[in-house]
Amino acid sequence: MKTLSSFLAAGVAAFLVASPASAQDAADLNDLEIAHVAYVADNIDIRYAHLALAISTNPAIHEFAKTMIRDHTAVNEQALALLDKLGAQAQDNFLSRTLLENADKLVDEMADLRGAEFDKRYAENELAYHRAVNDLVENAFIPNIENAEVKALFEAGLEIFKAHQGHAEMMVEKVSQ
Amino acid sequence: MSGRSRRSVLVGGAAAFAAALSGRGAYGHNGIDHSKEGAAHHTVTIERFKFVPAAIDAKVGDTVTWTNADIAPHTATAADGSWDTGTIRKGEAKSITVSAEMAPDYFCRFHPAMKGVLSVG
Ligand SMILES: [Cu+2]
Repeated sequence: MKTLSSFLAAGVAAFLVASPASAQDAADLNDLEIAHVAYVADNIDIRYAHLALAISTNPAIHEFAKTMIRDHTAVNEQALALLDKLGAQAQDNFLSRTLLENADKLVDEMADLRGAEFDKRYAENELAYHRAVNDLVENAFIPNIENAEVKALFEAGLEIFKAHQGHAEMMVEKVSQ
Repeated sequence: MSGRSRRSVLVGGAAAFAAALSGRGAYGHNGIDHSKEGAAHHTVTIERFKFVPAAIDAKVGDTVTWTNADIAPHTATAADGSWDTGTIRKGEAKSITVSAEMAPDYFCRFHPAMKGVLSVG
């Protein structure tokens, strides 16, 4: 079990962060580090959404971006409430930092695009991003989370992000027409 | 792989919140309550990005209540935009009274893949 999930996690992490296989293993993160990665991942998608609201003039992109902000904010509120209840604080770690670095680059890149070019790039990135984060949550995080309440929250979060992945697929089709 | 073992930082009690998250079965499925004379009360639970039940048969004057068991906010909105519950947050419920001209097909404005049918017969 552990070997399989570590293997999957390493693969996912390598994809997400484009780093060599010698990188630290996402499956080694503890619950509070995992919570931090999820919080950062939520905030990154909220950032992308604000960028879309600022640049795109496509109403469907705006609706999608607002849903990303609404849902990821709701999940983060639940996560903070749970950590508060547990008297714990999320812990910064290598994966959170790498995600942020990659997001900074992507935001810079997308900020230069306009019109249909931006919409297409944003929708494709939303699809790829949710897919990658969902793989990470499903295969590396959920099997390794030890606290039952944290695990339950991640399972609920995964359902939301899978719905977003499906929604992003629809958006990609829409803006590619 | 690093070989260092994962630290247990949060092993502990659990049930309440997990139960709250998964306790979605608490709402009756298609529970119809005929408490007022003639008018029925229909309940729809929004859970795991689905309207449950997805289809209801109602009569003019009935009420329909949507309760959101998800963390994500949802809506129940007519496909033609003619009626709308507005935003229903986690744990909230919104009701409408069924009228003759209501369009039956509805969806969630925030998650358009979520669809339901409210037939007025
Ligand atoms: Cu919804």
